[in-house]
Amino acid sequence: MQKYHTSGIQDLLGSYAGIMFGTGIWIGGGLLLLTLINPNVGISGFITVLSAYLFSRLLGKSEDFLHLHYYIYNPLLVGLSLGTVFKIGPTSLFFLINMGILTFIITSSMAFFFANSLRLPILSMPFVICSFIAHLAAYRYSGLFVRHLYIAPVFPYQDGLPEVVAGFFTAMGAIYCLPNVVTGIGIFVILFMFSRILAFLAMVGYLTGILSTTVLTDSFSQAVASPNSFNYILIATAVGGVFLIPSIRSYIMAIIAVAVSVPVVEACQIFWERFGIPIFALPFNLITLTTIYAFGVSGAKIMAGYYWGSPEATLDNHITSTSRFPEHIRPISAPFAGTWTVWQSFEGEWTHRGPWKYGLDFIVTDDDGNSFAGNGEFLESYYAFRKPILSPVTGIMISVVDNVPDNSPGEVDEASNWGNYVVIYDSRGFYVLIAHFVRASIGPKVGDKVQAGQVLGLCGNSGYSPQPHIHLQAQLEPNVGAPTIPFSISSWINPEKKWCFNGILPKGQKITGVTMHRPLAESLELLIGTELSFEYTLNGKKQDDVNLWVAMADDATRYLADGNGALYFGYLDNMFCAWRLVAPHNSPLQYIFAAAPRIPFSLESGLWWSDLLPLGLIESCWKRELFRFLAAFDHRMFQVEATYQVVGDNIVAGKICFGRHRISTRLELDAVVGIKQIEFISETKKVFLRRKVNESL
Amino acid sequence: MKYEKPVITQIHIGKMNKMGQSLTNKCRSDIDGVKIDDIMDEFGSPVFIISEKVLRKKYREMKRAFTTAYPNVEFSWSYKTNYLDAVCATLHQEGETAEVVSDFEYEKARRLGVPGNKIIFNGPYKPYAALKIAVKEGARIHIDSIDEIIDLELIAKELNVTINVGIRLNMDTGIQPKWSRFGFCIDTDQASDTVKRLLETGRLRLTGLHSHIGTFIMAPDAYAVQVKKMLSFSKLLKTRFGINIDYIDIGGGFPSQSRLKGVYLPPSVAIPSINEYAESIAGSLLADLDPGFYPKLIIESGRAIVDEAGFLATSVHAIKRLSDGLRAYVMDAGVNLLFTNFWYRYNIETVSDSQGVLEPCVLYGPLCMNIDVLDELSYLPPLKRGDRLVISPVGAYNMTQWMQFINYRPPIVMVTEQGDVELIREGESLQDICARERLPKHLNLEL
Repeated sequence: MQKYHTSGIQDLLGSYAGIMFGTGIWIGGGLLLLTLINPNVGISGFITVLSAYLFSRLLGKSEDFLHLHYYIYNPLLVGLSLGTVFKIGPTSLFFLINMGILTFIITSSMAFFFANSLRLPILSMPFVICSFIAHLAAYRYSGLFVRHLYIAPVFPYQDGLPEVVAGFFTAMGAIYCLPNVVTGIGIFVILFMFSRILAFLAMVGYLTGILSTTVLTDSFSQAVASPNSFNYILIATAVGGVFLIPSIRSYIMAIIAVAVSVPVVEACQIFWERFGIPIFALPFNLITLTTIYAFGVSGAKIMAGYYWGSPEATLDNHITSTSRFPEHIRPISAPFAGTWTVWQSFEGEWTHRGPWKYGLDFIVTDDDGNSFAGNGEFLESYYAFRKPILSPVTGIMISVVDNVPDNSPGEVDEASNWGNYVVIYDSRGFYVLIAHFVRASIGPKVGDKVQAGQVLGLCGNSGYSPQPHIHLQAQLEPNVGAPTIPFSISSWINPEKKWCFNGILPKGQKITGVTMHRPLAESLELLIGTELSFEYTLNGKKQDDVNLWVAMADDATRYLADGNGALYFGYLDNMFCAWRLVAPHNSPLQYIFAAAPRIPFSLESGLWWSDLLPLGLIESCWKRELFRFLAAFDHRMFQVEATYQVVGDNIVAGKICFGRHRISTRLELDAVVGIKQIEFISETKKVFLRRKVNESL
Repeated sequence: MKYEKPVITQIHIGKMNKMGQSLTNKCRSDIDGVKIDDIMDEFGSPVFIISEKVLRKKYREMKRAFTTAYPNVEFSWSYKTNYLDAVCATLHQEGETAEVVSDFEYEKARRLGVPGNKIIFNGPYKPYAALKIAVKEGARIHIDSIDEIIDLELIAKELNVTINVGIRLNMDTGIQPKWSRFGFCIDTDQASDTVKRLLETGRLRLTGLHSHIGTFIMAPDAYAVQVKKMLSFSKLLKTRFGINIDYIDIGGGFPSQSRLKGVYLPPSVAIPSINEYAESIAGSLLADLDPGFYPKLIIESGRAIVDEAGFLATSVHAIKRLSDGLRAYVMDAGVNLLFTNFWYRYNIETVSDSQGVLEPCVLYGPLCMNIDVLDELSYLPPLKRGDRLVISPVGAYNMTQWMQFINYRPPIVMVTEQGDVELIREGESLQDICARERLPKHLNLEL
């Protein structure tokens, strides 16, 4: 079985890409080659990063750990910066190795401190510190061969370019300690290929920095000529594209961060000039770290919780996850079977007021909106009366009252307001109260563990209840009548047979409770280690079989892997959910995602639902990237909408619409083996994945 | 008011009496706002009338009762109760699947557009060819006998498939008569031995249990016993064979608001509400099952849904006085059209609000047969020739069990929810009856 493996080469190249928040060995490899334009710099960098890497292996650090590129991109930067000053020779070689290891040690300790005490990344702070150390120490090391005393190579091209363009590319090059136009162009091209958002932010950051400097110094040429303007590029990319979710707001924040960094750059320069050494990326680190910290403490919602490898990926994931899985406020199941009507909702007109405003009352109504047959004289003629009430959560029974008589219709019992009720503790940290049961109908006892969907009792008319109904509320304290807190209903079916996910129900809303179909749920339970093989046909041509297996990520999320990509999935509120796809564009996993972004465990005929898919599923590469770039400006733009409907026994047909793209999918499930067949048909592709099943199944 | 000959009748005090009906004339002049007179003027007499509104309402009532009581319910329309296309289509629109018990019913459902996997194939007689088609089309087949297992194994081998099947069970639920002729008994080892046999070749996969304990069952508790027994059988299957059952089909047998002969109380008192059946069945299921693992409950209710949606409008053809002085009417509809007449006493209502003292009378049908009696003793105001009566509820079993005997069968119309009257089955003609006949040449009558 193939496995994701991280080789040393990947880690080393990753460190080159990591400096610009990039990932991938091709990006890293390209950047490594670029640094070799100045062989002295390139080799110096490589020596330090290699020494740091080997030292870490000696130390016994795990590969996972090294996957965090900043551990070795800091030594790399130190090496690059030393390479600009010292020519490689026996003494400088020793010095480089020495500094590589030192930087690694400092990075390790600082990173731990930053992460645990400040919840901040380390960025290139160790590089700045170690470069200061190296450059200061070098004053005493007469054996080092200082290059700038000799003739440096000259790049003739930069003379023909406008000042600002030349300045920008020089600054790009300066990030890798190669402040020249040729390297800068190379780095920019690689950056552009990797991420349009980062490339855009690099330009915005540079221009903002230069213009701010011009305003303050009144000299454009001086601003452009500054060797430290690469800091602006780094600040803008880090703030606008990496640590915040790319958006207009993050871009404005990037511009502000750059503008406020201008005096910092100047101040640092004046200070460090005293020692005759450059300021490196000190302003970038100071500004970026403090900005992120400030965002963190203010609880800003635009912070990216996790960097998905590129700003585009972060954005794509954010757009799809926030709209596919909107913020859950204590989702609980509907506490009944069949179709009920919301009689009173949150902040309702009668009793859901003040501290008790987050409550839901449910009744059963007929086509005419009546809750009873005939004239409603008897409790028995109310549709809700004696209907089973199911536990909305899995939890522990905290209290039960079961001896209050049921009122006649129209009468209320003010003395025992809640009537017969149960309070259940949900291990997510809140209590659920359900009230107005029929007398002596409640089964579970105090202390019993109840599961979601288990029968609690029968709907009655006890307490402050003029007609049989149930009252549902969530609270933070166990005592009955404690102030209520918001909650949501996790899933239900609306009268149009649409499967709805997680929401707050308005008054009058008819909802049908959701039931799980056991064979289906069990067939879609993909255990770790399960292997799935598919026959793969693309446009009528048989391809190599697709072999997938189920693995678990570090955060315990399960994923389907094919050796090149991963489709993360999980189970939420009685459905199978594909969380996200991390895979190359031609990966067969994308067809599974497109056909089954979620599968309810109840495929009642006619049931339908809608979903939003990541832009990654769109065919044309450049268009996809353009849309992703533009989507940063308005997250609602370019959402890929898809609808799915149960069209037959265990068959789900999907329609994906995006612009003029029309993709149709078809998913066939089997009660025993789960996913049986997947079809994906677009204008250019006809894909069939047919599950290969052992005879024994 | 015209003159009526005086009659002497016994006085019954109060509303309830052993005749089981109140002694005030009941009149029904319209169905869902459409005048019965208008329908009869257009389509003639007699005519069956089906109310789409009542049909849907009765279905929704039952659906509401069961779906709010149990989380996983499927309704399957019992074709034999009434397999008129318009009736079936209405109920399929409402979401019912089809429950058929013969090749004819199977083909009728398929012709209407019901896919094979939405058909439940029941019954003791499933011809091999029909069974094979049902297997191919993915119908749910409920096995009634060991011989059927053998047939299905042959078909599985022939088609090289594994077939999902259910088996029919019978048991004692404390009611009489005890139906033991269908399926296999679970009170003995018969059913579990059958399952053992069924699983032997690996060609058949058991996914469901079916049982139907009787008809017009007025004791909801009987269903609770049935469900309990079926569940404990499914637990036995789990422990003994490792089988998880997908569904439990409890059949039908729920009563309608019809009055059985010999029952004193009116149906509104004698017959439990559908909610009581739902509570009894669902309560029994929920008490025994793990949450989240609720097998599908299939209900094959026929009569309780369609009976009250059907009416028969008929006219007085002749008036007689019998030798004992009892007044008699010869109607244009009789037991040839109302098969259920043998065990029900219908509501017999006048279409126009006739005046006059109610008089005991007997209603005869048009057949030249002594048994053709619609009602041995009715209390009706004096009727004259051509006066119209409407008989209900007649939606269940009559339009399938009626006979082409002596007379032609009349048209059937549906009063739609919008208030239109649609002809859903034309009245029969000589051509319909003779089209299938072949006269051997030598019998040609050359007169």
